[in-house]
Amino acid sequence: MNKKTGFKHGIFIALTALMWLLSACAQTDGQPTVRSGETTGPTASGSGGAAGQPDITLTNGNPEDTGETIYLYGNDFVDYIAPKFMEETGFKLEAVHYGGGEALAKIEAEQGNPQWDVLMMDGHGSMRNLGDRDFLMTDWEPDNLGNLSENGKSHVPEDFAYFPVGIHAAGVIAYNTTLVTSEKAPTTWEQFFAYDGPVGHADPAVAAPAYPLVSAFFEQWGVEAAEQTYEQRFKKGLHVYPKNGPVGKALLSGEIEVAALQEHNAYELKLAGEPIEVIWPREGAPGSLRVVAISKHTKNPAAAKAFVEYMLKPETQQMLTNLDSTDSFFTPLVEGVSARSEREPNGAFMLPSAKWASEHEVEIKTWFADQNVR
Amino acid sequence: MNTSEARYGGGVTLLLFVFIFLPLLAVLINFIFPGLFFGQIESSSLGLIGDIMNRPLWKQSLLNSVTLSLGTATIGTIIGGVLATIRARWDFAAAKLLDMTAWVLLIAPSFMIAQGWVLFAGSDGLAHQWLGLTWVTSFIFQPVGLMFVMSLSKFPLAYLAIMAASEWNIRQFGNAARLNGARPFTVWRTVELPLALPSYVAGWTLVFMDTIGDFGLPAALATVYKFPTLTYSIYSAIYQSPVRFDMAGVLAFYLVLILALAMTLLMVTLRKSRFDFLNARAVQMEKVRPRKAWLYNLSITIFLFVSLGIPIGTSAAVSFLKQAGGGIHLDNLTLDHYRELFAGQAGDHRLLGYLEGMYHSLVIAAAAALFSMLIGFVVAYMLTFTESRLRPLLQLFSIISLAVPGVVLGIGYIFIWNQKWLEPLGLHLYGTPSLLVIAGIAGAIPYAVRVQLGAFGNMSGTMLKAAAIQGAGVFERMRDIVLPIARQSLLIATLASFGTSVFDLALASMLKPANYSLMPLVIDRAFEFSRYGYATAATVVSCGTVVLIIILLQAAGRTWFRWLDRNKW
Repeated sequence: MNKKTGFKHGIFIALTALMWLLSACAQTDGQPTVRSGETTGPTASGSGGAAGQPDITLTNGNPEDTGETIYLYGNDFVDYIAPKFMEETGFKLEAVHYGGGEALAKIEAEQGNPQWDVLMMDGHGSMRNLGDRDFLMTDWEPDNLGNLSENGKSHVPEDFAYFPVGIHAAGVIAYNTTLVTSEKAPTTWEQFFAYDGPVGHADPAVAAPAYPLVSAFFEQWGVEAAEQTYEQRFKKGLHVYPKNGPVGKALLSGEIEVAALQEHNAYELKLAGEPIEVIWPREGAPGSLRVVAISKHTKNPAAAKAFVEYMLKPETQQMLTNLDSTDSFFTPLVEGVSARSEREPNGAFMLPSAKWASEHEVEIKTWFADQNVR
Repeated sequence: MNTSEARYGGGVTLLLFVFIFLPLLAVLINFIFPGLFFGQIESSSLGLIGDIMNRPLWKQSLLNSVTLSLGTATIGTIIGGVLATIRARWDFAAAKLLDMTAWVLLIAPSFMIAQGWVLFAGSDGLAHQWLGLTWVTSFIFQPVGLMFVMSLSKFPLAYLAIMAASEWNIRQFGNAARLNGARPFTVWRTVELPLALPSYVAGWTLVFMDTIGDFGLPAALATVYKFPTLTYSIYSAIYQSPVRFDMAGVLAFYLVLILALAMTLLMVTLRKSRFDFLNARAVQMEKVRPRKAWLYNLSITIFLFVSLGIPIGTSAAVSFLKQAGGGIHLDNLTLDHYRELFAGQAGDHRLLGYLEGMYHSLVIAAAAALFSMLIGFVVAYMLTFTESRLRPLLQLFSIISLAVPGVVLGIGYIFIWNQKWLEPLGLHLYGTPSLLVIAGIAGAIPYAVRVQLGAFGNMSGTMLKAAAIQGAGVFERMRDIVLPIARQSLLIATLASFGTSVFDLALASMLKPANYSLMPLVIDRAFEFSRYGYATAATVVSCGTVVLIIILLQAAGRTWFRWLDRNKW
């Protein structure tokens, strides 16, 4: 054998070894390289288990049903929604929790090979952006769309790229009562930005409701004026935390005195007896519209559509507003569903249009991230 | 060259190329053709390269990384130098303790140490709430404070490098200079400093490189203090919105560039100052018992308490507390966090399943350790006993991943293994655990190769030649001659690889499959959501388990080798 063939053999063996190695690895870890119907792992908020195999009649009756497990990327309700949905419909769903920014990033990363089927998150602007870039299934009208209230219907886009589920305050004014008296506490956003002391809110690059929060101010005041207001605020002390949880913690520890805090977090602290008071500004709280959308490349369109229908049912929405969790703080957009009584009953929302929020998303997020390090 | 040797050589070279060099190459290619890996070919826009100076976030990240690393390298080298000098010259009881701590700090994952410091110094941390030391918070959470924290965990690199050099007594040269009329300062300047300099520069560079590639500190700080570094900005360009893969590649390129500069500095210094001072008259430094040994013991112990005791102790303490800020009294003590850890599914996205995460991490680390050991064995064999033309390549590939941070390898892996056309081949590995195994192998290869090179270095090639003449193939030669002699170091190399890859947060964060729990991610996620009890309990159990596994396997290995010897294997 001469050297050349020796080298060829070497390459051949190496390639074989590599293939073997890769397949071996995939097997070792008990999860196949290509996702199949069933996955392992107790972290899944419920796969298999409760539902078992999908209903035979469903599979037979619907050509769109491939029987595959669908993946929901989402921020809220992920711990409850999967088992409930599977119990009711028989489809298999695995819910994966991501922060809003993380979910968008993951979807971007999976562009070539999408792993998700349904996305449910805060912020219709980001969702509009995905729709415009052809990530979402469009032109399918759910049967349950008629269940939406007038307010809900007004948020349905013409191309049916996504569907509104609920709306809540991305930020209300919350202050630490041991540090701030009720006279000194800001009651409008203008006062919040002018407040003489450290304030804080969540990071639009990471937290889902933080972009709706920031973009509402930008739309209200105009980009240039909002940038100036924020610059002033950064100078006076604006602490930005990745998510609303740490914002609440900083408010308790006194690191910040006032916060633009997502309503769940604000009410959670208040109801737990912490020294926190919540103000719903008269001009409105920046609204976070929670929407659900289906991936254009879903592996199981029947299951994905069933999930959207499920989210638009009054029973589902009532179940969610009755949850013993702070996720239940939102205004349901389905007719005839009552919201939590502890909330401000007539709170107004500031909500930029999907188009505006989508067009300015990258610009505002980038600007904000850059200001944040100065 | 023997053809079967060529086959083995070609095989491992290709594997190392794919596992280690290709991802790095991808990062470099992305720099020239951003967008190439996303299906669009654009020629390099210089704008992207210059963007790092325009965008405040990236500029600040670069600045933070460089200042943090320069500061840490300098403080760390001073600490390491002082300790090594004391350790080499004096004989005192705490010296053993010092060595042990240095090794523990070297192996301990930096995110755990950093989390310990955050829990200690944070505004609701131990120092603030229990000890009333409010200044600690403001001291630690600023650039100099972070340098201080980093130096306390990275100094062992400098300590060990300088220790190795100061073990030898070079007083003879100084005496000669003094006899020729040199003043003490001249002796220090012209003899002692030039001789000691290479080890100090080596120590400084090692600390610098380790710090600039570190992901643990910024990850642990993320929820409490804004301090973006290059590594964290690479991560956030990929996992936060808006996503900038191209820019992550560019930032990674800058990181590699800085590392290459540091390496060059190291090489130049080593080459310039080549004095063969270890001649036949070299004597090992004799350690003297100092007059005030208690003073040395006390100060070293206090130092070790600060560097290791504070972060580890804080984590351990918090894991037993109901309320982290509640203080140590009976009402506040609890084992609930541990119970929660083993309760199985928590049904809470903030708490990833711990047992599952531990199982995944252990299996992946074990696979990575085994494969890296096997590959490392062949690489070390090729480097030591053959004249293969592939040797320079093997040398290069086997050292790269030591210098290249996990975050850079991670983005390289995403570029390579997230290509759509790989899907039909079944090789779309992004988002699958197999990529974590490959990354683990890449990370462990340098250690596996170095340890085995050390072991093979003592072996004479004549035995192998004799065996080859008798007709033994390369596989027989490896199995029957090299393996029995090197097995003890093989075992240690495997265990060391296992120990380091099991806690790799950077690669786990970059390459995590959806809903896939891994030990470092469990800890990180719980920490991120301020579930400190759960995070620290997981830290304590994980460290305990890994140490126990390593000790048991080592003991088992020894027994097995003895059994093999008795049975004439």
